Amino acid sequence: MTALRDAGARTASSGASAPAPLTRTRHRRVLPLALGLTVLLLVLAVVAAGTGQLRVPPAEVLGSVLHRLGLDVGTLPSHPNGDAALWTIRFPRVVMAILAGAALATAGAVMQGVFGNPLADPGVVGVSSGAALAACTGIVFNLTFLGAFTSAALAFVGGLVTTLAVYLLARSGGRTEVVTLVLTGVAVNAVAGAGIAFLTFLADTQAREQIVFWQLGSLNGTRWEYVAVVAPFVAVGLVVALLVARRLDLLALGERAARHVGVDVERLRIVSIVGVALLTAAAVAFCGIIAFVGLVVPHLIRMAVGPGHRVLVPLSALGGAVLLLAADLVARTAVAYADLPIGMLTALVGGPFFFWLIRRTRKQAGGWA
Amino acid sequence: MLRGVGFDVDGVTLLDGVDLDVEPGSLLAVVGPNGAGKSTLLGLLAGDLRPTRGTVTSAGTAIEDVPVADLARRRAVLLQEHRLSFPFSVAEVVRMGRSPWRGTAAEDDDDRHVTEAAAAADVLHLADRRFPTLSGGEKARTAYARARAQATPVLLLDEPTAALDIRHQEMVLAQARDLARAGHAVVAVLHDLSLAAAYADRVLLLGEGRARALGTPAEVLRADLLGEVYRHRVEVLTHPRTGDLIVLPDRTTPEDHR
Repeated sequence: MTALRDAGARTASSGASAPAPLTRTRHRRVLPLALGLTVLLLVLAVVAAGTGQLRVPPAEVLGSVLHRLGLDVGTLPSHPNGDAALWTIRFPRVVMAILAGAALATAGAVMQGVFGNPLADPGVVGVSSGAALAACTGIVFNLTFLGAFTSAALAFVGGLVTTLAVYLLARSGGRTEVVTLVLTGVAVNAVAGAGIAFLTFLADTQAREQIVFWQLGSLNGTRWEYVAVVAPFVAVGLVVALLVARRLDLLALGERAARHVGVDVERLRIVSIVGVALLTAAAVAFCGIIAFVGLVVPHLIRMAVGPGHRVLVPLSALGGAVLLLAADLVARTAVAYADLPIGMLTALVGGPFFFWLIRRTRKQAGGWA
Repeated sequence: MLRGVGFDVDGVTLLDGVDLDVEPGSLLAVVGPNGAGKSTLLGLLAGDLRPTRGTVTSAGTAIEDVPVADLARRRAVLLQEHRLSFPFSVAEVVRMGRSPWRGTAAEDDDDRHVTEAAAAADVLHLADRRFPTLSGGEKARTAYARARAQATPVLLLDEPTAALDIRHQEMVLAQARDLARAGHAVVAVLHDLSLAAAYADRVLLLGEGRARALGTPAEVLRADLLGEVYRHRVEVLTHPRTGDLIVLPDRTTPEDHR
């Protein structure tokens, strides 16, 4: 009894005495992780650019880049076709992998924030298929009203419509239940899949091949023109993601409480969804459906540095770029003289991860909450 | 602030004809049986719900015309449910209460407000804990700390004591009264009528969507009125030492004689 009273007195006094102020502290792992990922990305980019049927040592890759930048230092590729191979084939592909990876991971992070659900991912909920369906329509009917931007623009519209649809269908009472979200994804993927199947049926042989490419997902044959189309989409999408990051933190309180601390929830939702659609479309437009990047990367980042979106969004972009660059390197080197579809690889790794995540979420939430 | 306010959902009237002024310097307790419209009233005061009839005003402006960011600097709300989609730490959650002040001069006081609110809610020692790992009462106190950190003139509390132990119940209501004394306007939905009697300056008794009484605890918490509104006989006693009113259910009458 005495002990109890003492304990009570202690807590009371500890509350009364002047406490050390709670200052805003950044997670101590943020900076090392950001630096580590950046270094990893640069090293991977140089290695990936030099790896392939025509090998270019890292020093020569660097030399070639520096040379183009007007700095006459370092050694140029010794192979007669080395420089050309780097600049017409390898570099566009490396840049595309970085852009698409960053786009998909960021889209996943933003989507999870808006849905208030860590299992949201453009691939899982069907936004990628929606974007692919719209892009396929462009291929089959030879639509070229916007030139090189046509398929990207169509993918954006398809992605936007699908994200909105999933959002409206899966939400109830201000939040998205895991089951509803995943099942909505199943339904949306089924409908989009049917649409793509129908388009495949309608298409001629050449278009059919292109459609198959969407569904597998690949960075094969990336050209600078494609990169030039994708880059602005990714840039705008990333800016949107960074702008909404702070408010996504508040949205974690639930829609009502977020409003109580001054968040215009309706506007936040619309801006975020447009951002997700932009980023997903950017990745899907030329690389096809690459699933699970948006699921795996933000999750790992969250485990390392916590859920704050101001850190999560930029680190996810960086992590996604690293992951997709590495995956693409594996895709084109794992089997000699073959270019494996990258979507297949990410799904191979992402599928089991997704399953593990579902089990974990179920355990933590005590049921399908 | 509320004038002839009514609120319907799907043709069902949840609240009707309520007039209420939320005054600075006063702690108003809203009491009434389940489904009487207490949370609806709080939702209307918070600007979450649009009244079907009548008007809700804040400083002379219809509340739906006040931008959400301005509203967040006028009133803080503690809801009954405390959930969080991602595992933020307690310190991060309390700091979320400061976000309406971002970009204003008050932002410089963020650290002080966050620390004071966390200390007041007795969650300072939990600052680094992840919110989902807390007990129900600890979550409720963290949410209370967040609402306090917002440091608004109006504080709306929906059942602030529901998940709390007796020490923290007393702590929260004593603080609510102190805030009222310091010039804040505090509204608390309460189920415990004795708590309402002990701490409130005014009590609003709701029954079936209507205001049944509004006044001092002694005026409102009368055995006959409470018995009728709650449809259960109650006794109202006076504490022999403090003179506080104590409301108890009358357990001596057989069920069928109520």
